[in-house]
Amino acid sequence: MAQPLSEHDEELGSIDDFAPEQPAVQPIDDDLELHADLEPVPLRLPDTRRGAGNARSWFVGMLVSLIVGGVWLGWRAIPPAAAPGETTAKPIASSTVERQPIERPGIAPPVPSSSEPDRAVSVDRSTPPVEKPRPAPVEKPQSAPVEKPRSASVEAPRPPVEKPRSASVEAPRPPVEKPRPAPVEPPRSAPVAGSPGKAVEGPSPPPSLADASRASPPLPGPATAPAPSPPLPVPTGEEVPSALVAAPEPAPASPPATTEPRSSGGASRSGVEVTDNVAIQDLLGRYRTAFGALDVASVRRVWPSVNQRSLERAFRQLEEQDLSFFSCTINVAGVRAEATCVGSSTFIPTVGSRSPQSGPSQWNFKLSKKSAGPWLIDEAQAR
Amino acid sequence: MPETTTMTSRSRTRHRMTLVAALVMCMVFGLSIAPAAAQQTTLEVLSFLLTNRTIITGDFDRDAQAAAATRDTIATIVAQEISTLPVSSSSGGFAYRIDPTLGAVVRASDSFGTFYTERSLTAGRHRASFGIGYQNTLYNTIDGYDLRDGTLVSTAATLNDQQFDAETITLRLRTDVMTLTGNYGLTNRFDVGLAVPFVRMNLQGERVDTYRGEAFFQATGSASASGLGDMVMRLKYNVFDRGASGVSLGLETRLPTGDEDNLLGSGDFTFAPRFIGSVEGDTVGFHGELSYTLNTDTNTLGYGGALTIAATPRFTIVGELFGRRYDGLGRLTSTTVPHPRLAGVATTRLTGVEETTDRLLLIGGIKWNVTGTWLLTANVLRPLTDDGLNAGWVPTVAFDYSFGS
Repeated sequence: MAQPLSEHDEELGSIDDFAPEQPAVQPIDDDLELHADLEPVPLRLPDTRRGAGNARSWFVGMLVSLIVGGVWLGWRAIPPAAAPGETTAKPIASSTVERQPIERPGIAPPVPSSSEPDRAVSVDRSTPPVEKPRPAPVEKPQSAPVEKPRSASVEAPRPPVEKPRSASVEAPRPPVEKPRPAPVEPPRSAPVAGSPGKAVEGPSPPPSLADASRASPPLPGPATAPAPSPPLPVPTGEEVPSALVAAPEPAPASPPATTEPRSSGGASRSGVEVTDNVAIQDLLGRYRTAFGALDVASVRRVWPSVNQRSLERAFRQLEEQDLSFFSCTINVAGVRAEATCVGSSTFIPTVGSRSPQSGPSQWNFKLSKKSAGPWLIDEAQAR
Repeated sequence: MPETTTMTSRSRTRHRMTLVAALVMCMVFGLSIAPAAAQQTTLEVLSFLLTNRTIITGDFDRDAQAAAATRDTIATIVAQEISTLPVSSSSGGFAYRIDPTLGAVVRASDSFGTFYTERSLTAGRHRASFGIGYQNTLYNTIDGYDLRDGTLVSTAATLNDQQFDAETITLRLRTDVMTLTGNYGLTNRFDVGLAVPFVRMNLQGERVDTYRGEAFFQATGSASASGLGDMVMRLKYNVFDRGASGVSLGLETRLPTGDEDNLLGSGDFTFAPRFIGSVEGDTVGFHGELSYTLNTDTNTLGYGGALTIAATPRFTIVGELFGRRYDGLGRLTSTTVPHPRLAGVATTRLTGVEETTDRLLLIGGIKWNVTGTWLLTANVLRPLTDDGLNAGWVPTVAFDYSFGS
């Protein structure tokens, strides 16, 4: 405390004046007088709070929101009433969907086992290739090169076609109930592109619920379908993509030719090819059934190399799934084959929305068979 | 039958949209009710509380400068803090995609994603989500100074290093932020998002002068403001994906829609490119993000890492570390200068200086799919650094609803 004050000696005097007992900084002491004055009446800025009402409004807003949210949540659990003008022929409320999966629009019931006849395949099998009476073959114009290898599509299953070996498979089909005009060979030059594609219509048995739900809107139902002249009836009324529909038969005079040996092939070879097509169709049907049943073991039986772990994980994520193949184009090359199927798939996930959602619509399969063995899927891609 | 299905579906969608709109309107009205214009803005109240009134420092200009710098620093920190909002979308957890090699539909991700750190997965084409989140924050410290215990010295006089007169500030700063979020997948790889925060800021403060151990209550001030905060627009493009893993590029823009004077917004337009990467397995996922925010005043390097664990298909546990390095955000600091006239007397002032500020946050929480596509998100945030404005634990609750095909 005895330190000299170097700069302010004259102004402030001794540093002893700063002793606590005697505050030396007079200006500060002067201010302290003000402190004493301020003490009883603290300075207070005008309160800028927007009032308690603002706080209340905040919480009222939150409360209203929570109530609205709660009501909404509760309301969602109630199936919505049909709006005026709507016809609800089939319940589609989510609660109904859970209890009655079979009636869910767009979703077919899981097929109980792969051994059960598949809709498409069983129909195909039921149309044996050779037994139908057919008109005599008529020579086709030779504008189409006969030797075009294995690129053409034909209605399948049908009587053995000698060449080309590829087939466009109409699926699903019911059993054929009456004699039909002989299947015809497609134009050999460009059987797919050159064909004026159209929806194939025909009489069909009453579709199941799943079939009905799967039916596409553009086509009239079976009851309204005109009397057919197509080679094969299609029961579901599904519109077949034109690009994959086999060429329509131009006239009854079209050459049957399917059972007739052509230039190089023999009946035995044709029979083998048809057998391959039918076997592949059956395989694809079992694939479809297995996926619909979410049955990994069944899938492995037709696709042994499938990534089982990934497939199990994928199937665990789905509650239901349904695959429909509108048409398949099959190209057989010896012990290998490729198949492209166009269709639709719907699924209901285990997590998320309970509404059916769309899955893949096109599948590409690579298949092979060992000698005298069954056809199996080597690779399947979907998009 | 298909027409019926479509019509009913549309009707249901209309109902949902109407309810969403009603909910949003309720929220907006509830938050935006303000009886009358405030007489003083939050910034003015803060400035008042920070400006020295009693201690004779001999340099009132410097007092005012220090108070203004402190106020601006606090305001900037508050605005930055409020603008740090979790707005990432969870809708990827409800998206199902075709696995081409499997020929099957698979869930895009088993987890519902992260909180603050983005993940590379996008929502999916035409898949939308709406969310509403609430975050309540009661701030405790700023740059290591305690805001609530009365030890934050704004101005002090010392004699031979012994403080004999000091003005201290107590601030109770609380924010309630309700954020409406929306996300939409324009394509399978391209998402657009929007976040609209509504902020309620409540500030109460008092200044006490302690002279030779005796406290003298000097002033109180309070301010409350609510309104729209800074809106956020987000874009995310997935440039590479393998399952739920992948790399995405993002862009985040913050619009200065918040009232800067009431500390509801930063007052600046910011632009932040982001780089996002994710590696997700069946159950565990790692996500990382790097961003750089370009701002007129403060550029910010952001980085984050997140771990997601899909405990069940409907339940995801999330842990995150989220950091930011602010260039020139400002820090509070105390400066001491000799009294211009009194020998041995020095004046200490709280002021703000431009320094790089590092913040690191730890976030933990859950995402739970309650029903359908409703997702409940709950997390707590804990600052790991002293820099900036910090609270003890910051809880956040959000609901998210996804729809679309």
